[in-house]
Amino acid sequence: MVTTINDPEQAAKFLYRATFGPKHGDVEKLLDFDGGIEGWFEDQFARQNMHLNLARKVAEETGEPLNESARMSAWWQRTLAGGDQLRQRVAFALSQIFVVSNNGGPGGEGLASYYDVLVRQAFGRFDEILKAVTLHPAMGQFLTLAGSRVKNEQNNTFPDENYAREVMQLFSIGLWELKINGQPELAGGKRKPAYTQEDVEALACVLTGWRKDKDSDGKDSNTKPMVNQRDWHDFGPKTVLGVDFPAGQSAEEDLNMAIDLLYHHPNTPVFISRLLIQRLTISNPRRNYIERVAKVFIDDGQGVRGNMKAVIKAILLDEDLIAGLAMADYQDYGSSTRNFGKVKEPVIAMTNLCRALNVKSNDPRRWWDFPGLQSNFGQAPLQAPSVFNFYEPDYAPKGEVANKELTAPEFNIHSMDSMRRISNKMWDLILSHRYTNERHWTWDRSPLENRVDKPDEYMAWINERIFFGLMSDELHHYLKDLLIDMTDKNIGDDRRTFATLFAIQCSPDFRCQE
Amino acid sequence: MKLSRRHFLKGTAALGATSVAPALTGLNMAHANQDDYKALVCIFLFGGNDAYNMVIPTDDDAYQKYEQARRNLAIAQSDLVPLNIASDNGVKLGLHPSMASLKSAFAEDSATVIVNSGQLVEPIIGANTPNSRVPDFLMAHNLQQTMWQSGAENMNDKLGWAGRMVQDMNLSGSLSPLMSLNGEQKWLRNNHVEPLVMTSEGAGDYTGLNNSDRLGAMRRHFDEKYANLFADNYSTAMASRYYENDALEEVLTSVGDLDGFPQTGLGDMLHTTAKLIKVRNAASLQHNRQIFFVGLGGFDTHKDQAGTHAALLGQVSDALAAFYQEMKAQGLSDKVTAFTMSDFGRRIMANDSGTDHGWAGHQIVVGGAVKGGRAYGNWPDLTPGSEYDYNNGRLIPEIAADQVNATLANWFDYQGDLETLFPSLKMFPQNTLDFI
Repeated sequence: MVTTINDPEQAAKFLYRATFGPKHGDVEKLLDFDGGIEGWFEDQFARQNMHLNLARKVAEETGEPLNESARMSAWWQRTLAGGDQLRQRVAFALSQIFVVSNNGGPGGEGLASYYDVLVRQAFGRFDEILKAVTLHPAMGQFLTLAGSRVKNEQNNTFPDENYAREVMQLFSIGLWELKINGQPELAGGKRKPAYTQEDVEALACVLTGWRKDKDSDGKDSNTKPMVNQRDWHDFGPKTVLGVDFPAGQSAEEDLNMAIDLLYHHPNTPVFISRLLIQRLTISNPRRNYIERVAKVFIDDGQGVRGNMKAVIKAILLDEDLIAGLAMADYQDYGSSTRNFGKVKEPVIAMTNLCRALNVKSNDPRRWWDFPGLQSNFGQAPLQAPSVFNFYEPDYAPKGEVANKELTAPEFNIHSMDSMRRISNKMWDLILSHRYTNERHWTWDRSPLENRVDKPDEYMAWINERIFFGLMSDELHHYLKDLLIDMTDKNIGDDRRTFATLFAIQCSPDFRCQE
Repeated sequence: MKLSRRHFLKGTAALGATSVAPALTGLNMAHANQDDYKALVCIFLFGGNDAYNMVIPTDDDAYQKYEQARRNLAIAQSDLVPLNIASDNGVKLGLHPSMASLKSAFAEDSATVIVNSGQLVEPIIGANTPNSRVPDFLMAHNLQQTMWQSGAENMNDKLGWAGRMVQDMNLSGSLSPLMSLNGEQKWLRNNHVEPLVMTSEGAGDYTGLNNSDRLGAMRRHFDEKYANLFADNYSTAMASRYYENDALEEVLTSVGDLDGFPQTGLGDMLHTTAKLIKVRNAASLQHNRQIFFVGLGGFDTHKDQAGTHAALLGQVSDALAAFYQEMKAQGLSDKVTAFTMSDFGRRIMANDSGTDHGWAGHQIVVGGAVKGGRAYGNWPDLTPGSEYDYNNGRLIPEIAADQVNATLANWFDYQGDLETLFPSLKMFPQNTLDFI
């Protein structure tokens, strides 16, 4: 980590990666921050806005149940208005690694509580995150660890292997043994599996004996950590990944030992680091970048493993980001400037536009899910179709990306249908400056109306307020010419502002990030 | 507006008939004839279908072994839907009670069951080799889904088997003849033509493009050249997706709703599939072969299986039965073959109230071309410790999924080398089966 952020262009790029998009003044604030970029991080680390308490307040004040709508209300408010942007952005990234979904998980209250675990632990230590995630009742329900019990000879039933499998495959070590730079270890030219079916079965025995706790009304709690049920636990000896778990350990002791095993596994630092890099910065990090972050995961410089504050700083301040370098074609060790960046997640493109336009909810008590994320964007927080998230981390669309052996995971959800729906919702947001319905959002268009007859001022406002100085010259010229041409034809304010904003929201400049 | 060459190229990437029909090998030229039509419809049951509670023996002996293994999760013998089929080793089979709607397709000898099939890289049952290889990462959802879609030995291949098959065939079409109604899927990936990915709603309007200013503004991005990989490919994708949507909306509007489809997720997908089959000769399609992917999730029934699984199977059965009836009405029953795939079967021994990941399962195949009246494959011995028992009731398949898929490819008139398409076939005594 060598970076300091000291010019406006780098500051804007940094904010697109570290937050849900800059708001007016954010670039200047970052550049002038007391203590520089370190000071900015310390300030962000100290901030924390939770979701469940807000979802509860929203439900109470509007007389609605604490359902998915209330949870999304809290998510939008935290995402668009919260001062703890780094924490919220990292929590969103974590929610796509430690996946829990309304598709098989609990309702809004349980999911908001689970999201709070990710918000609270975003800057914690990796083993603490993994343990909190494992014992949360939403995860217990989603991956059916709640209720898993020791083999019963009489009923011919076995422990549930669901969580044991996914916690290794997706939440910690991954499928294959990895080098520190993310390349697979090879034996005789073949990749080596990181675990076996026997490991899954043994870990399933280790993890038996947990159930949901009870709330004060006697119902199963979806917010309190799971508790152990002694007679469901398998007290026999087990061996997982070559490590012996002695007979007679309690469910808690077995669990702690399992978490420790996965936390210290040599794959975990690089497996988790690469996923976080892809979510926050670029799709095709160079091997060196992955290795640098993984090494910080192993040791933050103070001897601490899995210190997420250090890992996140290493991801966001890597020298490759300043240099604009990504993996070269065909995954060799060179570098490429063309391959730098990523396609924005559709949800992130929407939050970028909302924050730039300073969108507000018309309902003073809450936000409604005006864009209808799940049905329109191919993704929504904690609403993935399965534990495998919204896209494959190695997905490559047909053509140049696949041919050059690169990845662009977000293209996996840019289908014919979702691209049209996203466009329609972006258009709806543009029109919303005139919407007054309580469930709609709105924004103030007057700064654009005031400048629409002065192309230079209009373009300056757009470049500063929507692109934070990053608009390409080509798009700038195109939009300015469009505006002048329409003005010459005496076309009215509406059509001129709508045409320019529509062109901006769908532009590759806006939908991709460098 | 002025079309640049680049615009032309990008536009035709979505619409160009030439890109669909590369005529690389000159194979299957016969299919230029419009009367010659076939379609494959894959119904993917995501999560790992408990096939051993979908197809259940009706004979007393075999039923008792099933009941003994399944205990609390066993379906009552008196509730089974009896069928006119038996396995190769003479076990009469029935369906889960929620699947009664499929009975008539079986009665008409237009449906069958591929018994105890699954992912294999070489034979295990009857092979007399103690150290037979097993596929990598059995019981892992995503990798097993990948194996079904790419072939047991092709997991590292970036392309799916339907996609690779189509590259060697001279398929016609303006819009892509490879269509998914359930997201982007590896099965259809190939190097020549982008699959058409839609929902059961098919296509719709870009509400912001009801005005030429904005349409022109968006099209400007189609034409632009970008130095950055992502921006450049995003520009291409937005152009292709826009043109595909436009063409598809027009063609789907031309065919009205069809009767008889249940209003469920899978019912809607098969309804739209049936519409796209009906309009296959429309100017913007002109498909002599079509390949469809539809799917249904929720089969990962670790807990509380009984009710959930019954509802899912009912949805599959009702949608598939309606689809079969519609194909008969279109006179295409023997031209269209629908079949199930699923990650894996589930373990025979239960968890507390559900089942865990297993290995072998059964596939159902429906269509007029199917040689019904019997099932294919041997009913396995479900007793713990039998030769079929991989561990604790995870059953070893006897028929390879690749053999089933090769049979479907063969029926589809794929003339290429099946052992190249599915390298594992070399290890098996026969490449294809006789079920169609």
